[in-house]
Amino acid sequence: MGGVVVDTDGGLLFVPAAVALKFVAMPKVLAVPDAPPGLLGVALIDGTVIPVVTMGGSRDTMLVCTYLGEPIGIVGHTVVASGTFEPAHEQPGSVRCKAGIAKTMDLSSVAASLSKNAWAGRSTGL
Amino acid sequence: MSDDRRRLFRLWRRTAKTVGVASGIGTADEAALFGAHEKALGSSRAASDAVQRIASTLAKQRGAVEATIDKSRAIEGRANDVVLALARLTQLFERLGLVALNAGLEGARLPEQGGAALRLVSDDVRAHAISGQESSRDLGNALGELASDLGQLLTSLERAREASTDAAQEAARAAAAAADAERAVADMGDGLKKATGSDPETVRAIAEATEHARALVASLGTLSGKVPQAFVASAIRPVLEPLVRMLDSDGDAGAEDPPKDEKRGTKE
Repeated sequence: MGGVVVDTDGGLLFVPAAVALKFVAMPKVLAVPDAPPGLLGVALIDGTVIPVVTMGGSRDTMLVCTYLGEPIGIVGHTVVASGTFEPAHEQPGSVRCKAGIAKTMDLSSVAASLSKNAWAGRSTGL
Repeated sequence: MSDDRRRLFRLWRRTAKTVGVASGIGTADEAALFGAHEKALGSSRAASDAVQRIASTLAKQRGAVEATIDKSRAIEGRANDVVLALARLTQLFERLGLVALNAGLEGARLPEQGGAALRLVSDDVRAHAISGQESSRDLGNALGELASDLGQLLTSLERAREASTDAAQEAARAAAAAADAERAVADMGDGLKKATGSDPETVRAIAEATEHARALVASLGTLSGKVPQAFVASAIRPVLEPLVRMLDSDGDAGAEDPPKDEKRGTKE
């Protein structure tokens, strides 16, 4: 399986090559008022404003991924390796690399948690 | 007899008569005063010369300190430039690492065989980029410490320069004081000449002559009783004849010149 393995505060994560677009240097991130906790802000990449999600404290590089055809930036990680990796049969949905077993990153749950938190506490007042 | 000799004997007789009574100052005291004045004048001149040498040395030292400060500033500037250049180099290595990562990602997207070479190159380049980044960062840190040490050196040199400036000002004040002291001592010498009516050389010569006369009297004293007086007198009369005539001719006149006809009668 081709992709990249990164180390985050939550452990090793594998991002498949189909999802990971490219690595870029940490850009300027504009904070958004009342943003959910995981959303660092927005950044301008190649003329497009993309949301930036954080998974840890590191701010060395940003991994631009694609989710439902839309780019999304991931920061807070340290790159472990890029290339092809063997699946870890003992943990489905994981791959084996030199640093250990990396779970596949679930971007859909990340996006879902951001949406849930965005609406939390808001009231229609009806 | 010459005028100089007459003046010398008048001074000697006046001193012998007035010792400890009229002026309270004898020839010996005058000689001591003039001697002390000469010493004081010599010391003040030596002090003035020494202060000038000190001022000259301080000026040279200040020049050397200024030159060192300029060099240190230049080195600090170059060190800071190198630190900035190394920071840019570190950034370049970071970008190179990113390029290598993206190459690896593209290699992962390609089929197994086609992407293997790209992935290998990517890993290699990324390893070198990380190594280069760390080395340039270490160099940057080391140069940063060097620049910081140079900054401290500059601070110390600035303090040394200030101390040199203060010392130079003090030396200038000391030079002025030494010059004033030299002038005052020279004025004192003029005052001494006026007060004593004499000059150092004359006073010294009279003091020496007085000492010689005392020694002669002492020697004659040792001879009395051992050698007949007539024999002694006949031996030394030829030598002392001029002195005896001089004392006799000046004794009646005192400190003033004798009348002209007496002068004619006492020619040598």
